[in-house]
Amino acid sequence: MNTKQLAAVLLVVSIVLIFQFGMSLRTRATAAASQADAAVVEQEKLKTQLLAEEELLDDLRKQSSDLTKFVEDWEPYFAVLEEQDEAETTISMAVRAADMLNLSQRYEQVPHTINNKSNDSLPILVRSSLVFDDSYPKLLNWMGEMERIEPTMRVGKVLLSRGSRGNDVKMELVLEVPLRAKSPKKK
Amino acid sequence: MLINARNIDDFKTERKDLLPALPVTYRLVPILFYLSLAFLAVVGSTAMWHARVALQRYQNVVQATSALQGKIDATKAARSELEKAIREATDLENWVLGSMPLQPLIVEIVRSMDEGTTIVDLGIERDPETPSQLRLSLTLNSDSDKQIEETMQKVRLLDYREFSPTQSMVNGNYEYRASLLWRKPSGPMPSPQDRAKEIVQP
Repeated sequence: MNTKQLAAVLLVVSIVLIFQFGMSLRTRATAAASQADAAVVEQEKLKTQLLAEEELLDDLRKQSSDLTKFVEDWEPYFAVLEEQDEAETTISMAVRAADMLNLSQRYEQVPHTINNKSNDSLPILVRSSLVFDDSYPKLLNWMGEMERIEPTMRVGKVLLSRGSRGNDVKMELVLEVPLRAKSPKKK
Repeated sequence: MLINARNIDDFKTERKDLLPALPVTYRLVPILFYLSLAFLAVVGSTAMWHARVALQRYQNVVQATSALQGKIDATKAARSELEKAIREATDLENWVLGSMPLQPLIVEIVRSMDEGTTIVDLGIERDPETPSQLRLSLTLNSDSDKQIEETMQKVRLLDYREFSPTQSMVNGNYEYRASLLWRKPSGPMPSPQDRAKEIVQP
């Protein structure tokens, strides 16, 4: 091969390389455009997802509005875990103030379970077992008063039987006060 | 220093081409070379401009996507928080609905007694698993068992429904056992004030 032929071959190789370089630039531009298009598709998907999430949240807010309102009314009446001593004291003070013959009183804290499953929102119950022996009106008035001033307290058990004196009634009462896991709003 | 033009021409003396001429078709090679340069200039610059525009568009979209993803995460977090609040609220609601006062029920049972009937004992126990369900045990000293039916009629007026009732006679007393299921009255949910109004004078 002489130098003229060699120069021609070199030019041909240059032509090929230039063409390939041009094509590679074009391919790179096409790839960048495809990447941008894919990102736009992804953005549209996310827009749809956001719309669905917002609708779900709105629906949930609407569905739970009555429940939220109901709980807002009741939440301040629930004692919190930190107030467990206070819950016992409230009942024992009410027993002392009742001016009734109290035969026994016992307080315990028990885990609150339903179907052997712990209740996460109300994990502890303060259970008071009280035995009174006094007149029927005093006993029922006191019981009603306790249910009135502590609306979240519930009577777990009540047993009325003949008392030791005349028309007196013996009342065995179990009161349960639930304790919340977190601080409620102020009353 | 001046050089004679003739002397300069001497440097460029005619030379005989030592190599044979290339075929005519080879003349296309330089033409193609220039065309390829033109191709590179046009296609390359266009491609680079497109690539830059696409990259800019991609970056904008990625930025917007990132903001969207942030909004989605925030919405999901808000929903998760709301669901947690609903679970807790449901627990509180279940407690409230399952802790209806028993004093009005006891007073109503006692009030329903006719003259000549005495209550030997009266027990009400709340089912811990289903707090709206009560186990009633009532022992009466009465002339007839009609008293039990009259009492249960009064109890039904307080939105309780009895089931699995059993009645027996032990030591001359009527023993009545039943489960009472409290049905939440229709209408708005009770507030603490409504609950307090349910308490009656014995």
